[in-house]
Amino acid sequence: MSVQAITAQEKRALKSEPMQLFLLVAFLLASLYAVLQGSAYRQAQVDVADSFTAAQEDRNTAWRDRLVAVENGTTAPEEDRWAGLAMDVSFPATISPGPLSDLAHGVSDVKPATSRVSLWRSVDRLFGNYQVQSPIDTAAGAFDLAFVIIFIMPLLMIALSYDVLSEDRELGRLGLLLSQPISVRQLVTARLKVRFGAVAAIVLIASLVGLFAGSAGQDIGTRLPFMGLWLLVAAAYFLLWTATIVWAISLNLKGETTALLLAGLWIVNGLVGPASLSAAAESLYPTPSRLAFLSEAREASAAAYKSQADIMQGMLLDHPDLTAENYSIPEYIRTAFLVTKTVDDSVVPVLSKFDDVQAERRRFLSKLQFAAPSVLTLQAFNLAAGTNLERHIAFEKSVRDFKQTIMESVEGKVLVGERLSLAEYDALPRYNTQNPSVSSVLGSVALPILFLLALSVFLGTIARSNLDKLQNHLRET
Amino acid sequence: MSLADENTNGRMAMLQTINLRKTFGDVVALEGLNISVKPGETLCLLGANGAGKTTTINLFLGFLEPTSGEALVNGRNVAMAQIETKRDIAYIPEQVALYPSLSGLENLKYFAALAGHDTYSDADLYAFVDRAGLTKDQADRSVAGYSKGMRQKIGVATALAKQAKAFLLDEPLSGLDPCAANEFALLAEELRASGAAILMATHDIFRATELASRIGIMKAGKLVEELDPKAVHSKEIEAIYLNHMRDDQTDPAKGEAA
Amino acid sequence: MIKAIIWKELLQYRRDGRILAVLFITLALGFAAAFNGWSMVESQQRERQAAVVSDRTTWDNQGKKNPHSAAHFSRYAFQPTSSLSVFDPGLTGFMGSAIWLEAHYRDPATLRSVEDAVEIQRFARLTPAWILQVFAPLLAILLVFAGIAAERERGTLRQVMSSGVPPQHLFVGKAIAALCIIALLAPSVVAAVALAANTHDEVGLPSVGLRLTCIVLAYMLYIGAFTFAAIGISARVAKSKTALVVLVGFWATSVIFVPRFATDVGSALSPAPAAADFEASLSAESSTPFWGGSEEAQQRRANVEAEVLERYGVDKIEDLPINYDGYLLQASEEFANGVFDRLYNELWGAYETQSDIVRLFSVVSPTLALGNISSALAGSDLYAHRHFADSAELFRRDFVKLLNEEMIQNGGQDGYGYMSDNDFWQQNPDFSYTPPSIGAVLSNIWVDILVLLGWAITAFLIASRGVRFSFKQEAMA
Repeated sequence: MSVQAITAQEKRALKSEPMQLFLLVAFLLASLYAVLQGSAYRQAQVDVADSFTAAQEDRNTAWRDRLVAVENGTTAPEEDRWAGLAMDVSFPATISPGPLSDLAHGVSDVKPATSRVSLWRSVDRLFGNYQVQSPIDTAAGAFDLAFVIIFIMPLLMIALSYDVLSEDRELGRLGLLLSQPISVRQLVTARLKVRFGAVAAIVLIASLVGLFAGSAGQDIGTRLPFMGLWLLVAAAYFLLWTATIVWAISLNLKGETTALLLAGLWIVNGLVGPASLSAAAESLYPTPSRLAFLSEAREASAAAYKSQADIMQGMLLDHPDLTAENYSIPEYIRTAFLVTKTVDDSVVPVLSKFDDVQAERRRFLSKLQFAAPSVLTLQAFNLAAGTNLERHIAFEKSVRDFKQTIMESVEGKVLVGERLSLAEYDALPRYNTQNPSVSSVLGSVALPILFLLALSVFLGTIARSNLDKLQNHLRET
Repeated sequence: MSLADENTNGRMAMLQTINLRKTFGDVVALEGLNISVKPGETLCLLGANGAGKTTTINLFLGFLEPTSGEALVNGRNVAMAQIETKRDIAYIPEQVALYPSLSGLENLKYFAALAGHDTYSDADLYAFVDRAGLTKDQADRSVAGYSKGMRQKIGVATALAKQAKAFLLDEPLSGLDPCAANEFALLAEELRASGAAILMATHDIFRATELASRIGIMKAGKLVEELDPKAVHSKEIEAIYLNHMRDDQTDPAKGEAA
Repeated sequence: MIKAIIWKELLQYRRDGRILAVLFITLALGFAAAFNGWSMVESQQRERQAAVVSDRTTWDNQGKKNPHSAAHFSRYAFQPTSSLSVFDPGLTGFMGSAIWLEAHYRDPATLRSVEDAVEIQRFARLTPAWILQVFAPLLAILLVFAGIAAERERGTLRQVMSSGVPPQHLFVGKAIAALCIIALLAPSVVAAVALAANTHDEVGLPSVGLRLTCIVLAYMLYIGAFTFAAIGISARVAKSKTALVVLVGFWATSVIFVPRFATDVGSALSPAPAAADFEASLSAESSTPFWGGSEEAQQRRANVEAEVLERYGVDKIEDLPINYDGYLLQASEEFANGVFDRLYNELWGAYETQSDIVRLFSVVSPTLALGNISSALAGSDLYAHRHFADSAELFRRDFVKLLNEEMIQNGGQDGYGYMSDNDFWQQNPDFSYTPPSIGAVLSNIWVDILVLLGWAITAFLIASRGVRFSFKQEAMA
C-alpha cells in the first residue's frame, strides 16, 4: 500500500462515511450561513451610515441655502435672522464599516457608528440614543465567520482526526498497515491531508464567498488586501490546530484519551482562556464609573446653568471687544453655547480616563493574548476586519476632537451673535472618516501570526520526532 | 435423564435443562437439550464454536430467553426467577473482566456486594482471596497489572464470596499458561469436592477428561454424546470427540467452512 | 446493590486524575466567577447609590429655574442591580442602566457595561451561572461517557449482569454517583449566594428564597438532563470513545453554537429597528404632529385651546386662571405618550419575538431554556429590564406632569418666565421601583420550565431504555 493508495482510500471515505460527510457538510453550511448573515450585517451598516449622512447633508444643504439666500439678497437679513446661525452648525461623523466587518463583527454591534456633531450637544451626548439593538443579540454574540473559524473549525478537526492512528491500533490493523512500505508519519500525513484539506477548503470557499457577498459600499480591490491578512491569520490558526492535533496523535494514546486531551485544549483555548483573561483585564484595570461620570456631567451642566451670569462675565473679560449690546439674537443661544462648553471642559478629561483604561487593558491583553491562541486570533481578526475596540475608541475620540475644532472655529461668531458668512461656513473642516490602512493592520497582526506559526512549528517538530520514535518502537515490537 | 433418576440418587440437580430449545431467527442454536449437574459434579461440555455451549450458559444466566423448554437453577426456572436464580450462580468467563483502577480486593468486594453479600469484613474478603490462591499483597494491587490467571482467581474468590452453588465456566482455561491452567484445574476440583455443581464449556479435551464427572459432546445445538470419563478411557473419549468433529466438517449441510 | 454501585463508581472517580483535575479547575473557576460577580454587582450597586444621591442633590439645588426647563434637565432613573445578579447577571451588562426622564421624549436606557468591555469578553463571561451552564454538563459527560460503553468494552457489564443486577439499578447507581461528584461544585454556588447576601439588595427582589430554590431546581434538572443523556448515549454506542465524541459534539452544539445561531436567526427574523431610524421616528412622530406647522398640528393645538377655554368658561387665553403654556405642554405630553407607547411596544415586541424564536431552539439546546429561567429568577433578564423601563416611563409621565402642573397652577401669565426654586424641587418625589412578583416572573418562563422538564424526562427515558438496551445487546453477544 502506498501513500497514494491511502490518500485515495481517504478520499473515498470522505464521501462514503456518513458521519464524516455529515460533519463536513454541516460545517460548510455553518460557514456559508455565517458569511451570508455577515454580508447582511455589513449591508445594514453601510445603509445606516449612508442614510444618516444623506439626511444630515440634506439638512445642511437646506441650512446653507438659507444663508445663500441672505447673502445674495433673495431674503432680507431681518426676515431670516436664524440663517447662518453659528450655533446651528452641525456635521455628520461616521465610522466607515470595517473593511471586513461582515466576517468579524467585533465590537461594531455595540459601539456607536454615527454622530451628529452639534454645538448644542455636550461631548457626552454626541452619539445620541444608539442603544436600541436587542440585548439578547448582543449578549449571545455574533455567528460570524470569525466565530466559525475560532470555535467550530478546531472542534471539527478534532472529531475528524483524533482516531487517525488509535483506531487502527485498537483494531489491531496498525501492524498490518505498517508492514507495507509506509511510515507512521506518512500514514498520518496522508490521512490528515485529505481530512484537513477538506476543512481548509471549506474555510477558503466561505471566505471567498464572503469577499464578494459582503463587499457592500466598497470595491473588491479595497477589500482584497484585508482579506489577504484575514486568510493569513486563519491559516496560522489552522496550522496551529493541525500541529496540535498531530502532536496529540503522536503521543500514541488511546483514542478516548486523545479525544479528551484535544477537547480539553479546545475548551481552555476557547472558553477558559478568554473568560479568565477578560475577567483579569477588567478587574485589574477597572473603568471609572459611568454613572459617576453621568452625575459629574449633570452637575457640571447644572452648575454652568446656575452661574451663567458669571460665565458670561468671564467671557466678556476675556473678550473686551464683545458687549452684550451688539447682540442680535436671543441671549439663550450664547448661554447654551457657554454652558455646553463648560460641560465639555469638565467631561473631556473624564472621557479620556476611560480611554486610558482601555489602553491599559489593551496593553495588558497584548501581552497575555499569547496565553490563549483564540484570544490572539480573535483580536487579529477584529483588526483585519476593522471592528476592533481600538478603532472604535479612536473614532469616538476623533468625533470629540472634531467638535472641539468646530467649536473653536465658530466660537467668536456665536459669542458676538453674528452670522457665519458662506465662505466661512464652506471653509469649516468636515469630519473625515478614518479607514484602517493595510500596513498598520499588518504591523499589528504580524506578531500574532508569527507567534502562531512558531508555535505550530514547535509542536509540529515534536510531533514529527514522536512519530518517528513510534515507528522505531513499532518496528522493534 | 429423567427426574426419577435424580430422586434415586437422592440429590436434586443444581443445574438442569429440560428440552431446552433456542433459535435465533431461522438459526437453531440449541435443540432439545437435556442436561443436569448435581452438587459435587462437574459437567464438561465439549464442542466446536457455535455448537451451543455458550448459548447454554447464557440461558442459565437468563441473558437469553429459551424459545421453548426450561433451564432450571436449583429447581427454579431461570425465565421465571431471573434475579433469584443468579444468586446461586457464579459465572467465570474466559476473560474475567475487572475494573482496572480498583484493586483485586475492591473488585471482589464490589461483585460480592452486587450479589447481595455486602456485609463482609476485609478479613472475610482476604480469606476468599486466599482460598482462591492469591496473596494479600496481590489482592491489594490494582488489577491493571494482573495476569489472566490472577483475574480468574478473583473470579473464583467472587464465586466463593457469593457462596454460589453452581458454577458456569465458559472456556476458563484457554489462554492460560500451563502453570496457571493447572492451578485453576486444582481449584475447580476443590470446588467440586466441596459440593459445587460445575458446568464447564471448553475445547480442552485433556482438561475435560481430567476434571469432569461427565462429559457432554455438543454439535450444532444438540447434545450428541454423554460420557463418563471414569468408565471410558480418555483415548477413547478423544477418538469419539474427534469423530464427531470430523462428521461436522464433512457434513454437506454445514459446508466446508464450518 | 445500588449502594455498592455508587461506592465503586466514586472509588473509580477518586482514582481518575482527569476527573479530579477538571473538578478542581471548575471549582476554582466557580469561586473566581463568584468573586468576579460579586465585585461587579457590588460596584454597580455602589455606583448606583452614589448616582441616585447625586441626582437628587443636583435636582434639589438647581436654583431658580422654569419648571419646563427643569423638565428638560430632568432626572435619571437608575436600574438597580439585584443581589442574585452575582450568580447570574443575565442581560444586565447588555442593557442600559440609566434612563433619562426628560420632557417630550422617552429615552432608551443608556450606559451599557458591554461598551466598556474588552473584545474577548464577547466570547465568554466569567459568571457562576456561565460556569454551571457550560462546565457542569461537561463534567457530567466526562463522568459518565464511559459509564456503560466502557463496561461493555471491558466485559465487566456481563459480569455485573451475571450478578443479578437489574439495568435500572445500574443506571440509578451510576447516575447518583455522577451527580454526587457534580454536587461537589456546590461550594462555588454557595460562595456566590453568600457573596450575594453581602450586597445591598437595592431592588428588594421579592421572595428571594423561593427564587433561589427554583434556580437550584432548574440547574439540577439541567445537570440531570445532561447526565442522563450521557448515560443513555454511553449505553447505545459500541465504544466509549464514540460516546465521548458524540457527547462533546452535542455539548458544543447545544451549549456553545446553538445559542449564538438561535439569536442570530431570531434577530434576522425579528429585527429591531436601526437606532437612527428609531430615534428619528420617536421625535418625528411625538413632536412634529403636535408642535409642527402642519395643518394637523395647528388643529391639535386649536382643539386644546378650545377645550380649555370651554372648561374655564372664558373667551381668551389671557383670561384663563391658569397658565396656558403649561397646559399646552401637558397636552403635548399626553399626545406624545401614546406615540411612545406604540413605538416602544413595537421595539419590545421585536425583542420579545426574537426571544420567542430563540426559545424554539431550546428544543435542541436545554442551555437556552435554563438561561431564560436562571436570569428571569435572578431578575436580570429582558422582562426585568422592561418592567423597570416601563415603571420608569410611568414615573417620567407623572414627574413631567407634576412640573407642568406647577407651571399651570402658579405660572400665571409669566409662562416660560415663571421660576420655581429649591423649595419646590426639594418637595418633588423620588422614583421608587418595585420589581415584579415571582408569580409574574414564573408566568413568563413556564414554557422554559416545561422544556427543561421535557429535556430531563426525555433524557431519563433515553438513559433507562438505553441501559436496558445495552443489557439486551450484551446478553446476545
